[in-house]
Amino acid sequence: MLLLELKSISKGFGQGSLRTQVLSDVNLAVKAGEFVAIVGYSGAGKTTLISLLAGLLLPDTGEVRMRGKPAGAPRPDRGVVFQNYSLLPWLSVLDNIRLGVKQVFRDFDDARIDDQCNKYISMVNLGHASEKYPSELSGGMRQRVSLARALAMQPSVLLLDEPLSALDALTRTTLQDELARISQAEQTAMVLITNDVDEAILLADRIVPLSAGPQATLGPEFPVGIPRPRDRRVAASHPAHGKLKREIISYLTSTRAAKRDALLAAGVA
Amino acid sequence: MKTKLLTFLREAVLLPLVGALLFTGLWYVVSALTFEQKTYDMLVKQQAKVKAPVAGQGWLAPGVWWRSTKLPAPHRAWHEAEKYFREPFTNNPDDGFRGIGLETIDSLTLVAKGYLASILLAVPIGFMLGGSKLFTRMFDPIMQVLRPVSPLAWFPLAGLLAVPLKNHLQTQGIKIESLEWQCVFTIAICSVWPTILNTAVGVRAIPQDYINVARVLRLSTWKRFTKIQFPATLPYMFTGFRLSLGISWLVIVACEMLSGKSGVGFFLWNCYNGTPPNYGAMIGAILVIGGVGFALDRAMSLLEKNVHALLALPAIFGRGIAWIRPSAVNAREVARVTSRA
Repeated sequence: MLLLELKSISKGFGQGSLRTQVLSDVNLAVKAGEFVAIVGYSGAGKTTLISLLAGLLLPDTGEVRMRGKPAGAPRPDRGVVFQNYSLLPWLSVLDNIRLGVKQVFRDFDDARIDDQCNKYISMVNLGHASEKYPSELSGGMRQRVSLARALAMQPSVLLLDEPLSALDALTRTTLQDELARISQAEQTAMVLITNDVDEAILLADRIVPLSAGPQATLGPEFPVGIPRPRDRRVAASHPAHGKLKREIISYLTSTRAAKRDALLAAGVA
Repeated sequence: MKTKLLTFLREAVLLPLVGALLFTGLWYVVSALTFEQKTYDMLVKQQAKVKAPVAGQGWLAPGVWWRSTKLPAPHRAWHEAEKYFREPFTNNPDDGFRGIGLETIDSLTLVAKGYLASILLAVPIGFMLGGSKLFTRMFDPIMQVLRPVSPLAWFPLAGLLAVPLKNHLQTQGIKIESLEWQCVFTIAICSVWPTILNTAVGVRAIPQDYINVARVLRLSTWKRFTKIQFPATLPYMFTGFRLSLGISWLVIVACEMLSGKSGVGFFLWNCYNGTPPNYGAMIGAILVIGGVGFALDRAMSLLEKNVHALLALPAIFGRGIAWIRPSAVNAREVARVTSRA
């Protein structure tokens, strides 16, 4: 069953001659429980794409559909993990998560809400820090809180906007493994936006490249045939891995070259 | 460690002390320039009547000379003001003596009333201005015009309103004093602007991230306000609170001069106009006004720096009890990081 769909979406910003068309004719379909990774250059419109999926932005043309119906305003049903964590600094870890849980599970009593929060806090291995404030946590820990906040609302799809790109390489690796474990355990559909092809291959069921902007669009999809659960080392040495990575990167570079040629031609004319 | 201490002593003790000494020196010089020969001659004559001249003309000692200046030098000022400072909380209606402490408390009470009124007025208005473009377009021009109006200009208007208000409240069984109402009104309206403007700026400056969180979580309007808008605006509001308090204290002196009831402003004016005038006590009052204003500002900026720690206080306190480790959180750290965000 199709969970979340983008149908010939386009989106631009600015007025008049300053207007840039960020996305044009974007189509995507996410099935329930599936992990889709969207890989693209910085500035290609990845965050715009996730904002459209979340309902934080409305498309100029086209339609976002959720379970076959127009998706409309943002809902906790489409959880978002923001690139810069977006935790509320005046609330403790537990309270940050509780804010969302209370909103979604209105019929729960306090004890059940706390149980729900604590379950996801331990899922991201933050049991020891639930009373701490975001300013007392490292970047990696903050992103775990953000992840727990989104997961605790039990969304049917989780939108991850470059969740790991602000972290150092080692923390990033750890969190990738945890994300793989959680996505396996939760069976929530996930859409991961990233600029790291290895990360996409490790985590996703299929990878959709976003061509270079402006007027970026989604390219042909690449299914990842590596069996799960994927171990980082095993996945990297799998014969499909290298081929997949080469194909995706060459697709992306070709779109960038084409875009540059087009821009140069326009400049000459 | 030792050099740190030395630097501290130089920066925070020695240099301010030198400054204070230079200022006192300047005060002496200005005072000396206001020397009046007439007063001096008169004093000498008086002195001669009372005491027999001593060998070496002792009664021509510097004391008499300094008493003949129009502006009292520091030691003369202290001599004249001393009684109000030695017994700050003595009230003696028979000879009209009231210590400076009592007057200061009167002023502070009045400021508290006016300031509280201004905050209660300013915060909701600030939120409305910050939250709605329509509201800003409508009322911003009026506010920009009213903002620079001096307290001296508001005072008569407050007096005008005092009579109907008093009559109306009397029918309800509430008694107000016109002069006090006039002061409170003037303080409130003069100090309301910084809080309004800062709150509005704070509301407009709420990071888009937080707004996105609110949208994704589908927070109700009330929760959006209590959990996101209010705490995010709090640091800006406190900047407004601090500036407003400063203005309140500035306005009170003018108000009390006009109302002539009590308070440091009244005290100052009374010393100036008394027969004989007591310029020393007047200068003393100026220093008290400055000192209190400084203390208020310091207290507010301390609060301002720790707003979010204040907000987190119940939680921190709870955790302290739970872990029996009260210093677990560095409250200042919380505030510092949040204000950066």
